[in-house]
Amino acid sequence: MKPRSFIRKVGFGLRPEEKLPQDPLNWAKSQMKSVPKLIWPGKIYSEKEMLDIRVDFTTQEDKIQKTEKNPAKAKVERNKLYRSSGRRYFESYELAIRHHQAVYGKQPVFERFWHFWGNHFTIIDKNKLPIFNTGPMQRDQLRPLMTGRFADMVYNITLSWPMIKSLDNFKSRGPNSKFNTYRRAKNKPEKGLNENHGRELLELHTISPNSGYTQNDVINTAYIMTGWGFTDGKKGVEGKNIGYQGSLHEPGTHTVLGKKYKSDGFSSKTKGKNQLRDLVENLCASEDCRNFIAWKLCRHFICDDPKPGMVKIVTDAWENSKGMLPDIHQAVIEATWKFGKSNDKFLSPETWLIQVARMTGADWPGNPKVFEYDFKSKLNYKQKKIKNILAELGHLPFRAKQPNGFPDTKNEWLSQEFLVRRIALINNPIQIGLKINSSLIDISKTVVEQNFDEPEKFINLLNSLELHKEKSKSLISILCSGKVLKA
Amino acid sequence: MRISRRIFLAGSTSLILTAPLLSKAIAANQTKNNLVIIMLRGGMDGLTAVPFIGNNILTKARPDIGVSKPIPISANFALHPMLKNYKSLWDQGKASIFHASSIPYTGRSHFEGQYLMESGGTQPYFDKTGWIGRALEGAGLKGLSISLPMPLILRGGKDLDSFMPSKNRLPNDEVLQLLHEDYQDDKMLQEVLSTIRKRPIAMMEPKSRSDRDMKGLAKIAAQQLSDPAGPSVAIFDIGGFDTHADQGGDYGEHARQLKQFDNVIGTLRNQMGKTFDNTIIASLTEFGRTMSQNGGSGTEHGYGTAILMAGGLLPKSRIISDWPGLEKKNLFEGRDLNSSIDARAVYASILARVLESDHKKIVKDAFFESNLPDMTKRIFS
Repeated sequence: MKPRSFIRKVGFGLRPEEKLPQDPLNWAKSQMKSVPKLIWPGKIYSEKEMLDIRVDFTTQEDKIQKTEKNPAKAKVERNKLYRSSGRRYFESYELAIRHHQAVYGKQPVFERFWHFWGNHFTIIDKNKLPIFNTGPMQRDQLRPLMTGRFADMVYNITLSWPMIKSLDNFKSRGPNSKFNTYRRAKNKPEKGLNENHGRELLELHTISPNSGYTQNDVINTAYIMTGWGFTDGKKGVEGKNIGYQGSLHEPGTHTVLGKKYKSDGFSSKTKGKNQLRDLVENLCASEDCRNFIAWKLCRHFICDDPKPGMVKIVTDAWENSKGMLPDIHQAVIEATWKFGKSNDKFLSPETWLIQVARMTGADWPGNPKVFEYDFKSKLNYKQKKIKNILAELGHLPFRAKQPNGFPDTKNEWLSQEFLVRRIALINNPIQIGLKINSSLIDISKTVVEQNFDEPEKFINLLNSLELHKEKSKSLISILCSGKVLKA
Repeated sequence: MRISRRIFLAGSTSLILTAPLLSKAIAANQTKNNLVIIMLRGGMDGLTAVPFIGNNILTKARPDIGVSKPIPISANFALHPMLKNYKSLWDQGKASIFHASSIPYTGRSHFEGQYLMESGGTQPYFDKTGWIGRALEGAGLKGLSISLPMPLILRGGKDLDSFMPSKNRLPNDEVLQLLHEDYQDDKMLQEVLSTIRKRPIAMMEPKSRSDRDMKGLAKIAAQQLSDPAGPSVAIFDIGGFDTHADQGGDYGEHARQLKQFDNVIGTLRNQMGKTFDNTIIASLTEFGRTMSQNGGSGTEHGYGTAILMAGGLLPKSRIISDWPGLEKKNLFEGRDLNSSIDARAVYASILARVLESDHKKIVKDAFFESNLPDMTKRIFS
């Protein structure tokens, strides 16, 4: 591939001050070896802290609902709580950390892969997860796992707090578990299996329906997953800690895709605990899993309909490394370098927005100091705008409605209304931190010179516009051009 | 009407309007027929929307999530109490239900199922166009979608547009002309931009956020459908039916989503005036849900479900079903309400009626089939 197009295809483009790497392929590949530190200078709340904040919030919200019967007073109380808890603040704050990293970070290619995996392991938009939990989980858990094995990533994210919460596994109980056997003996209604998480583990996270699994495989996967939930949750509600409770587990050997999973261990508390780890290992070692994930990665970076030759580079690296993610990522980069064509992949709204910010050198997502919050006031425009703009573009990354996440093809991302919104955004460039009194033509030229392999046509266009002293026209003609909408 | 966040699926609630390019109806000075499809994503539970009340087999299977105050509409079936607007249409002889029906897909994956309910085919992720898009293309109609994305169900038509009210402004056309020249190597991009440039001024004006709620969108649909030169098909998209946990009975999650469905029908009924007489509304979902409740007081992915239809084109209110029964031996794989009729046959007959087109041609164009049973008599006579 040509170097400047390649940098946009696997990264976010070159900043105005960045030099073109002499060896773009190695520049990209070397970024996969380590997890870059978050460069956000403000406070970074750990996943655990955010869980505490969530629990405080929900406890107090419940209290208001139970004790304050006057609707007007309850509204005032709730509003106060929304501010003191950061209910309206944290999602914007988390998005700011994410975009700051992508726009100013030194390993942008790593960030692109991070965004990919965040969407692969989608936490759906429910139960206030996008506000308190999804971003912090992606930061604290998913990100460090990117230099390890895929199987470890699957196992750990499967057992992450927001995944267990969003796919209901904490409510799933083996029909013949100790718990249900006791209930039957006491003539109490049983609380049975929940297939939701088991199905998505197979369909979305590992082997896909192409593997030909059956309903029986789904049920057995769900059996294997019984017991994993909140160890401190009461009566099927959320708790703070994820763990294993043998008393809820469906006993015995379970068969998934012809493989038998026996339950090790003698202690009734831990018997069966090994089964999920064994299952995930086998799923991730399968050809179906390699093919599915490699295809999905190639589709994300190279083109909507990746060819077998591209995918094979990735599956080979997977096999040779036994599923090590740095090797897999590097193979995706190599396949892109070898087979990628410029203008062949229509970018998602968020990736496009970050590229626009990075290439123009815009003050995006804004000075980190702007995001400091006193937990008393109304959020100001600058604090809210990252969330508002991503919503307007139709791509709030923590708010996918279904567990298959946001789409990844041109058919899904190119429509009249989607395009209108991108053009309208650049028509008002102050929104993304570009000052309108600055020379937008100079900024546009820098974008072209730094990021287009054949800049002449666009430089000529910009020169012709200069005569007319157009303002946002130059910027739109570059940032909404086919070249920048695609990579 | 309060709009739940959950109603917005895959980034938006979509309402798709399709406008005739050269309306045959107007040319012939006839009244225009309208079709409204309301997509219910996540797997709408036909046994909650239209519970079987012939005996207590269903309530026994669902001790925590049964509908305790069903509104009986026949000896064997009832409506969910949230379907108030629908019930009033039923009483006026303007509603019919096809029960125990599904698209021919038994894989229980939402994403495959949703793909097929929109593509109209039988192989997931294979067909790149939708059954309504193809039918409209065949009928020479163009489409407008009030949504951010262009949904698969409409793809395949020509001159498609998607629209959601927004407060942002586009630049003047001179700037768009520059982009048009730039897009010359990308036909799809150029077509999309061309449609934007042809939009009426009213669509280009900045809109406030309140125009974007479901009531606002339903009003727009009603206005557009009422315009004799306006669109003849509208599609809504409501999510949140995937209730694996805490499904609820009379109230709760599934009930809330059914209320959204009912609100769309109510708003359309109130706003469309006489146009409602020439309209048919039908629900569409990827699959039904298991007959028995699960461990989390919810239900799992199933198979058969119900198609709820309403509108003046229906001759009378009735339940249409080859009811398979709910005894274990009659359930699909011993767990789901079975489907005794291919839902595509129902939609093909509806399309043929609305487009006044040949049934066989619709079956071929929209569903790639050589033969689907003709349901016209069962629905329209």
